[in-house]
Amino acid sequence: MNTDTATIFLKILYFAQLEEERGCFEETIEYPFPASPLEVYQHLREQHQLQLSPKELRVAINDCFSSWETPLKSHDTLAFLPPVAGG
Amino acid sequence: MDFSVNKPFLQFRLSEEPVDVMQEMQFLQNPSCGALVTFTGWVRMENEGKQVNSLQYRAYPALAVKEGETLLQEVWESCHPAGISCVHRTGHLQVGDLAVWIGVAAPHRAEAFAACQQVIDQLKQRVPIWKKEFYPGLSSEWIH
Repeated sequence: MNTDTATIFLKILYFAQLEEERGCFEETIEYPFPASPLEVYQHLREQHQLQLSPKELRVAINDCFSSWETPLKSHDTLAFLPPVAGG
Repeated sequence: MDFSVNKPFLQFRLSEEPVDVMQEMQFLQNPSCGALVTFTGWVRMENEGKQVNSLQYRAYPALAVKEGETLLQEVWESCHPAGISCVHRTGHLQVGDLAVWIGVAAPHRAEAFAACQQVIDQLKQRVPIWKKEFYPGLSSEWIH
């Protein structure tokens, strides 16, 4: 990570298929600021070969459904949610 | 319990343990209600042509409960029953196990049937709970 650039720390939560593909349920990452959930997911998708596209997912910030464009703050918890299948 | 059409009892929860249906029904017992409509979802031995041995339910608890509570509030605003209780299992379940239970108590049956249908339909679409199916002799799969 380039230390000349402002960065934020994000807690990432992975569920279901994403959790298996990533190999963990949660992790903390450092990411350049400013950032959106879409940018972070695209980075993680490429880094970890995650199969699901953003169009197939929903995103939550700090336990609330959110949009892919919401500006992220340091120490936000960002969750990527595959299509649900309860019931 | 002290609840009514104007001051409803709304409860959504996740459970890692088997659900005690009689206890769930007791939450909803109320002298103002003449109807209790329930929906029980069981783990089926087959899905889309494949034999299913067991299921795993995974939830995002903080958001699932929040979204479930929002859903029950919306259904109450739409149908005005007196009480809605919904409990969804998490963890590993076997064929025949209870996966989800919904109970709706209301003065009359029409609003109870309508509300119960709305809760299960919406739950399946929007509450962050995921299901993995385990098959004999095949790799397990997350269901989308």
